[in-house]
Amino acid sequence: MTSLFSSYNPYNYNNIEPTVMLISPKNKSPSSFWIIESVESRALTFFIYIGFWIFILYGLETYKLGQSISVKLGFSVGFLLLLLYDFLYNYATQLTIDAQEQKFTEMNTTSTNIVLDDKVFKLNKTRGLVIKKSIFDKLKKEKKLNTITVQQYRDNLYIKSLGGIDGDEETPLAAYALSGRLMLGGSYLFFTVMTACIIASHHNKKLLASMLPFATTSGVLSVAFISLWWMDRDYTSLTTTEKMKVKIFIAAFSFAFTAVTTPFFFV
Amino acid sequence: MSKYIKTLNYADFVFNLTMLLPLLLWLWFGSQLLKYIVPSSSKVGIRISKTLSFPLFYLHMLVFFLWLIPVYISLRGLYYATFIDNKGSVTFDPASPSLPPGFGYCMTTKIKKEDAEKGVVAYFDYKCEKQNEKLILGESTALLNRFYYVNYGIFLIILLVYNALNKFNIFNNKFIMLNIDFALFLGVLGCIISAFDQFYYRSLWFTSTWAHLLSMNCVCLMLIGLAIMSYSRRYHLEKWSMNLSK
Repeated sequence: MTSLFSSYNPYNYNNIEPTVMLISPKNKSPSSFWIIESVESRALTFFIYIGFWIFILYGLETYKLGQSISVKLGFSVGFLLLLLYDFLYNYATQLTIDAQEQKFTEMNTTSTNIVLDDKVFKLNKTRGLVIKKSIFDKLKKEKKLNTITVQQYRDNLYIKSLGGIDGDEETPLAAYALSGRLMLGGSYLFFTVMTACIIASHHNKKLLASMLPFATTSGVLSVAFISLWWMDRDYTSLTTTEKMKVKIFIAAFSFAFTAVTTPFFFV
Repeated sequence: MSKYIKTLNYADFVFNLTMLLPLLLWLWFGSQLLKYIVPSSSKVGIRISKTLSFPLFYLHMLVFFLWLIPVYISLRGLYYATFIDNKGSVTFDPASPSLPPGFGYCMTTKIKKEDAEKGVVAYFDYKCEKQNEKLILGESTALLNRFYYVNYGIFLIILLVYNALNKFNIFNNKFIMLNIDFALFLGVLGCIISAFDQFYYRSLWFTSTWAHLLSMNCVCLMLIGLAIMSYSRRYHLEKWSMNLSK
């Protein structure tokens, strides 16, 4: 099973030759989205999403209350958003704009690496290089280039100085800022869905009954789960926590979507 | 361009054209609104006109003009992307990127000969990328807050109406209810932006598209306000007639 997933190469597309990014350790740019997820963990997300929906619908018997069109819509929208998030998280560096040609361009970048021993290339604080993967592999093999992946580099730095020196975008604080924005989004989501429930309560108790289980589930996921707080031991765990919270948020959105579209289909 | 970097022709046009997807929702909403528009010459229309400070026809015109706001904003964006070039001249130019002012182009294929010989295919400016990301995150947070404030306004209206149900009940007005339901639906859609704001150019697409959803949400609040104003007039008339009878 594992070998089946591992044999799948998400970067082998569009016939673009692979390249590698090289950046200097002095570079303080954001890097969380360069850390690619394993195919297993990506697949597991979708199984959990489907399993949770089945639990809410059949385990808690909410399928008896909800409007079937809204339920189908909410589930499908959430599933598509999870697919989109998965695609964006694992391909985000591919789309760029070439300042020379003034055109949108696409690259097949397979990894981002911190250059520890810079004898071959002259990297500075802000400029990184996009090099051919074949050349990168050759230089590594000949031991002319000493590099580690951005993930390994940040992990080491995290243990030493909680993510890096002053001004670094990838300190735990930067990750907490993302959680903060998600938290804000989650509480706004819950607030809006509850407003829709107040209106429904005035009109028809049956309408409220078909909205409330989904609205409540969305609130529990978007506010309570995202508020959970713990310290991560390394940078990889920190970004994993970030990703997990975003996926929970998307699941919460799918339930909120079900609740808020119910009045449009209620008969 | 090369076998390592592929140019995407007309990507800017596609980028801007797909931002108009929320207009499909808006067209559906417009068609639903039409169901609750009463002809001004009908009996019901004449009766409603008496409760307004101006003819019903003008109210219909106002609703239409308000509905046009998101359509105008969306098409304006597409026009600038397609017919205005980087120097601001009017020309058919759908290929070159039309990004927000201050948004940098951080990658360049203009490289030194010695670097090209070492296998370098492009330079990437990370300081520029950091600034771009800051701009996208700022936009996303601003959009999220605006969605919240618009829907908070609707929430306050609902609270007020609950306290004044015995005087005038706007919840029985299907036009207002459609607007409230659609505004809350847009409010929920707006919140998802915080999950998709860290993907660089693709997040720029999200923030620009969600800006159109926000303008629709704002117009819904305007339409609710407009409809309530007509009710307030009736409320005042009733109060005035009650004072006269005393």
